[in-house]
Amino acid sequence: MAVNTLLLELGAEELPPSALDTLSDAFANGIQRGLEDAGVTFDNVTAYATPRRLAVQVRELADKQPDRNVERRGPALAAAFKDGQPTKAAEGFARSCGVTVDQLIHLETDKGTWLGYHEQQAGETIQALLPEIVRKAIGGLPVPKNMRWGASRVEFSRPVHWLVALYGSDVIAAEALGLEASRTTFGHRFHAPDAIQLAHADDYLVALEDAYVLADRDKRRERIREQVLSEAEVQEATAVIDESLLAEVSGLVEWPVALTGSFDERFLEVPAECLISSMKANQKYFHLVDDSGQLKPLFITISNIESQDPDQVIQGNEKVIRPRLADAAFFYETDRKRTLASRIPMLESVVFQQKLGTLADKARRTSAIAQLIANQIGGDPALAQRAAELAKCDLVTEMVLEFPELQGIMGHYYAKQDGEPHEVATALEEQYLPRFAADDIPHTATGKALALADRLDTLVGIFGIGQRPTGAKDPFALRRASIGVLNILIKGELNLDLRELLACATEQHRDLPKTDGLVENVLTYVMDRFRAWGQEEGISAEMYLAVRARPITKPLDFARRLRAVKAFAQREEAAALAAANKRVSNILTKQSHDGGAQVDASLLSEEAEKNLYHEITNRRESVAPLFAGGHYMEALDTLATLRQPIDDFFDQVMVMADDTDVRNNRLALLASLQALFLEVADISELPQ
Amino acid sequence: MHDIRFVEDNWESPTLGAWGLGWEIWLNGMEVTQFTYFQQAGGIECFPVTGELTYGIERIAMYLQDVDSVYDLVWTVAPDGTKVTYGDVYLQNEREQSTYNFEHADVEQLFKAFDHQEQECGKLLDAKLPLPAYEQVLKASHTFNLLDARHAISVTERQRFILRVRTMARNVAHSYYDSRKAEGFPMAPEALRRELLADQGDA
Repeated sequence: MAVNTLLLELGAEELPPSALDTLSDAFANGIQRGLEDAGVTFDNVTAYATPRRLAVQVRELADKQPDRNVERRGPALAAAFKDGQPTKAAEGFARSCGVTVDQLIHLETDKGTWLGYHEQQAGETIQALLPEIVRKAIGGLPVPKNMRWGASRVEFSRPVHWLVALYGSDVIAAEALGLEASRTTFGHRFHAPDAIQLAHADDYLVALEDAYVLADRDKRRERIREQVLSEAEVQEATAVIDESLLAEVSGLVEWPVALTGSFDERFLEVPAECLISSMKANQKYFHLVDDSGQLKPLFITISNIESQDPDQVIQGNEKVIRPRLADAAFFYETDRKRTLASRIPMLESVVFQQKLGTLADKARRTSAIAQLIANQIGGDPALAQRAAELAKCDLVTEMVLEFPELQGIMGHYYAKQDGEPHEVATALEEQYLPRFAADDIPHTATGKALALADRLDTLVGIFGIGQRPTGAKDPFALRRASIGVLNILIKGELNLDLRELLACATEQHRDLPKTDGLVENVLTYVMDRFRAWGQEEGISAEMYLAVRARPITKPLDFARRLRAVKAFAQREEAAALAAANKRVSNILTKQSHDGGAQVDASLLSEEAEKNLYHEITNRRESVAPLFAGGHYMEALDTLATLRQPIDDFFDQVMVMADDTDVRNNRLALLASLQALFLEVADISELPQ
Repeated sequence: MHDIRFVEDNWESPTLGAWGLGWEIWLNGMEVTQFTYFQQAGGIECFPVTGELTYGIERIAMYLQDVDSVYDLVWTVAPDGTKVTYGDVYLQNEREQSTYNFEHADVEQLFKAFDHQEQECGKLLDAKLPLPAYEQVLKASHTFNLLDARHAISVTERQRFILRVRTMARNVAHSYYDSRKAEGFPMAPEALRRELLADQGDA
């Protein structure tokens, strides 16, 4: 069987960059799946994509399907012959196989014997198979928004212009989206506008590179990175490369050329974040900083052309950014003409959520919760109150209206300028932390109080109007808010009772329609996030369940138990103790033992049960202070030494003794053992 | 020489029940024009699809003349060599019209005008005159913009006005479609014509 390279390329008008990667991967997957389903062998599948093309190269693709041995089953033997003569059924089956009855074979099965035939089916050629595979793969592309063009009913993300399908040097007769496949592709829109005839599928990357197209996404992205870094080096500055911006820019060009421009130094009086947002959001520029991290009045733009006169391109870009930065400067100057506090009344007319009132309502609620928290964590309630009042004021500044991602950052700048207490100003920015699971949490006590209060208010509010997340739908990002709450409490080492905080948050709402069980519902929802939280920490579902079995409402306490259980699970005694706990739990459940009875030492007769009783009593004394101090890891270490006494007990003692008193006493002993472990978690949930 | 780029930018006008997909066209980082493939207008699918190239002719002129402000564009050069700028021609007009639109426009009359245009539109549609009715839609849409500039429409009212214009636009589009259909789509290619006439459910 011969092998060769397959090349498929779909040429289109500039595709939306946000959809490019998805489309490209789906195209490659679709082709791969098609080939696999057809049983054709190949070495590897590579996806290429630029704004004007989606391509797939398959290397060492076999030129045909392997021949297949197909087993056909005919009538049962009993029905195939009558008096030694073949019946009509047998003859008909033989005819359908194109043979005579004596060439058929017997198929033995558990249910009897049938007539059968082994047929050699020749594999189809790749030329015959590909048109359907290509049609299916292209037809199945997940286009986010389809369009039509011209007088055609064909739909795609953008108008398509050409289709290349080459197997080695042969054109495959594929058709898709109204295009017939050929060997003709096109290079860069301006550098190489003429048609290019590809002689062989292997020529693709080289032919395109000659025509000013870098088809390989990763290579293009890395080339941009190198260019940006080297441009920065020329300027003796450091380029700040945001990976998502880099990815976006790579999706906008076929032939990247980095160019450096500059802007007026006077704009540097405006906070750097504003300038960066403006350059990044509007123009997709990379910014540069000096050794101390200060913004330089320079930018790097990625053009899609090797210009004969790069200065013209640079000047054009400088001309565009000037009014943009001037806008940012204007917003900043305008915003600074009044204080942040003077905007508090404006929040009365901004709706937070229709049923939950305005931002002013939210600020009042948040303020009450934040003060409670500040009190509990040794912060200053007065500062928390002030921070909550001002928290959303920057949302009605010109700057944040234009660049929403600057929320908090602008609040910080403006509050500082207004002479608000340092901790209040900092808290305005910190309230949005953590933005993602691994992000920093607020440093200041006021920041922590505000960040917690804001999230708790949103959680009970949205639950209270019956809009809790369902399935994948989470429009108010309550999952992230919950994980944020957990992380602030855990990383901040704040041992607060979540139930108490949620009760306070609920009290602040006056007219919630769904208040029945609200606190418990939100509590359960937030504590359930520990499962996802634990995954980041290498905590298994069993470990999570072991702790979740306990009615813990302090997230920090919960996290300490999880970590203790995780450490415990690494111990060699873990599996045996999990099994023992499971066994105890089963026995106690079966006997409906209430666990309340005390062990009567005088009723203990066997050596092993006396010993176990002794060991439990000893351990209980030594772990009590550990439980009280939240030192669960040490506590479990101590309890792990019970393994031998427990094993001996089960080996040598018969729990279900005939004497009722003895039996009940042994059950009480087991219950006391179980209770000891349950002080931390239900160890019986762990793998045994 | 120049870096010309097609940057995704889709267009939608809820008031006109119209939308399309396309691009901003950048020239060295500056948006100089937009290209849109229309998909729907007045709530009706566009078929065949029309393209729209909205030249920002002033922007291109600014680029060619290398000026930063539109008012510095040279409009023409008099025989004696003096330059007449875009500002000379339009600045006073721009100021006065802005002052009028933002400060003086008579809100009460504009509301009345809007109601009148809406009524006229309906009346003309009843009389099967979609083209004059269409002009009433344009007028109503403009009146809405003027009222909006005067901040005369509250946030909740705004939605209602948009819906009123959209209803007019939709009715006009359907009426025009029906009038062309009644004529048998005389300008359409034969195959398409037959297809559309056969498709009774389309309008």
